[in-house]
Amino acid sequence: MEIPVDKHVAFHDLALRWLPDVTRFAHSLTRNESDAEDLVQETYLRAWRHWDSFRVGSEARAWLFTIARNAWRKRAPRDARLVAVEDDTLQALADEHFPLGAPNDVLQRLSDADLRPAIHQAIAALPEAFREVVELVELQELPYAEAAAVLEIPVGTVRSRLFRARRLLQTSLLEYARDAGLAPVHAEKESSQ
Amino acid sequence: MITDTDRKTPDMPSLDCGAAVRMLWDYLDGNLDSVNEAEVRAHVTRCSHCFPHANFGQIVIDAMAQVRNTPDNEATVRAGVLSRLRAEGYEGS
Repeated sequence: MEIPVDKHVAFHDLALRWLPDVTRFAHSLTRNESDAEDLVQETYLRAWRHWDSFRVGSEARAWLFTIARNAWRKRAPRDARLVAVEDDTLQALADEHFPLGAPNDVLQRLSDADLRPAIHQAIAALPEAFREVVELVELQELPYAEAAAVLEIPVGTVRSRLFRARRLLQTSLLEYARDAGLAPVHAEKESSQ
Repeated sequence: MITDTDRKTPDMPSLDCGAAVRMLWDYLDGNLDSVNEAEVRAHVTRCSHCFPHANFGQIVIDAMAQVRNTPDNEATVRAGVLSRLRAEGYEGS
């Protein structure tokens, strides 16, 4: 993309174009529409004030996510936001016993179902450390390295948190399947690894 | 989902379950090189434990792809942001 010389045009072209993504990221942090709107406003205000420090050519979206996350961390008391998570290695996570509990007919029903409400709910219920990784990598489709930079964690931690988050989402979807009558209540005993 | 047709691949040397599970998400994300991708595919299509795990993983990935959408309140948010920015001297649209 050609970089506009005018600051206002550059801000419009490089920063405001990501407003839908920043809004969704803000919502994933706040889980509240009104707070998300406030956070987006604050994010863009900070971005505008510090636009001269933005390195043109770098990833504006990741920069905005970083501003939003820092603003949220300042605003929300840390103890209220964070549930401590253990960052196990990918190998340790893969070696964990993970009861699948979904025979093929249940998987087929899940595959055919509209899972959007269930997955929204499941993502919202994730601990913040996992939710923000899912938001950045799965929903915003940031490369692992960019997500790691926004979250200020190693790439390996992004990968292990995503691994655990996806398993938590699978567990939630199985609960949804049982609640929706797509799976028998005893399904968790039928398959395990 | 992985189909039964996929499962009828010829026998070939394969990974053990632990290695397959470690690489499963990268396999489903399409992040493996061709050699590992072939090995994981060969394993999950033949392994009765890993086959449903792979299918379930794909379901989760597909479900998340369905919720990658634009926020409903984008116009409201944009109006609020522009209002704040203009108060700080921003002159763009």
